[in-house]
Amino acid sequence: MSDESPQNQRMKELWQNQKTEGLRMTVEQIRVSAGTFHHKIQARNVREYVVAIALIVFFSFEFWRAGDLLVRVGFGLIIAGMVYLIWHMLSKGSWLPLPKDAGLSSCIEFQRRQLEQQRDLLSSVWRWYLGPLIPGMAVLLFAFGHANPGHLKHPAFVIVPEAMFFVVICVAIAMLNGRAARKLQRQIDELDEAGRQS
Amino acid sequence: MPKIERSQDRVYEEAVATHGAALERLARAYEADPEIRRDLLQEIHIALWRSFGGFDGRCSLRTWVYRVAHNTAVSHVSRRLRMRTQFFVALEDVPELADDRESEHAAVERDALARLYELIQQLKTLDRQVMVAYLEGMDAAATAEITGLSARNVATKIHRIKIILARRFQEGGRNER
Repeated sequence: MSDESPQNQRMKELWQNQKTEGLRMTVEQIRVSAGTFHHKIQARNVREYVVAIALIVFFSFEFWRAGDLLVRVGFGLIIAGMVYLIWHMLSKGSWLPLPKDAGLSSCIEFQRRQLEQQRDLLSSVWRWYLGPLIPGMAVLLFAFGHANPGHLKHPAFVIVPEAMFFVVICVAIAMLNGRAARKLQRQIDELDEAGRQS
Repeated sequence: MPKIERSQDRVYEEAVATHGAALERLARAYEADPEIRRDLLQEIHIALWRSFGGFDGRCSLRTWVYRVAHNTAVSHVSRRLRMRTQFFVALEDVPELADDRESEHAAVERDALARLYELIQQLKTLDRQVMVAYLEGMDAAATAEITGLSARNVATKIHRIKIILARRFQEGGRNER
């Protein structure tokens, strides 16, 4: 005999008998959609990095405009760093189609893999996000400080405060990402615990 | 057409005939926006069709279907969280809300269902998956196989779900919130 209360039984019936629209797609249409799906995903991923792409365009313009060789080298390094950053995000951080064997992974296993991927991305920002931008920023700081010391007697008076500001920003970004990575790790631990209890 | 593709199509058609409506309910459990929900449902169907190329019967068809559907939906939620898109009800969807002319009974049921979805969409992923499985009438063993939770954990969660449903949805649809 079922131990279900009449109320909960009613909720189940309500759930199961609700009106659905039905996905009106033939197998042939699904096949065609699956073929074009990859391009749709790539377009969507690229849209997520529209700000980074706009910055690359801006820095390219500055690169082209700059007369000083050192400034050009700085902008060039920043552009290279941003290209690497986008490539890294597209290959590691973006959404990819579900693997064909997704049905072999339980929901916990799948979520765990997703969370691990996000955690690793967040905890390694120095390597793929901040690191690649540092050489370009350092060269630019030096070039600007050297070329425009303003009313100060020595370029170091310009370079050092700006460099410190840049370092503080980098450390803050790394700390925020580290905190987010630890939060994801707690979620991973919760999943492990949920799967282990027997 | 190669034999493998024919088999892939056949299994897909069988899965849709058996679980098509349940997949729609599952998609709604993850996505409130009707327009984006249609995209998610299509994404689930494409993922299912692709996955059946590698379906070898190591688990039941139902377990496979639900795992692929939940995993696709989890990816979708994760992506949406990152994009932080806002949800608004479109004018076209207003008729889905309570209508003065419909019977009181239908209005009560519609309201209860809306509140049920609201509740489900607030739940953590694993709890949401257990709740959907419970409402679909699956037993604890089937739910454990799909989610990867231990049977004991599933039983505990189902016990809590029953209490929550009983508290929130009184007989006749009265809301105790």
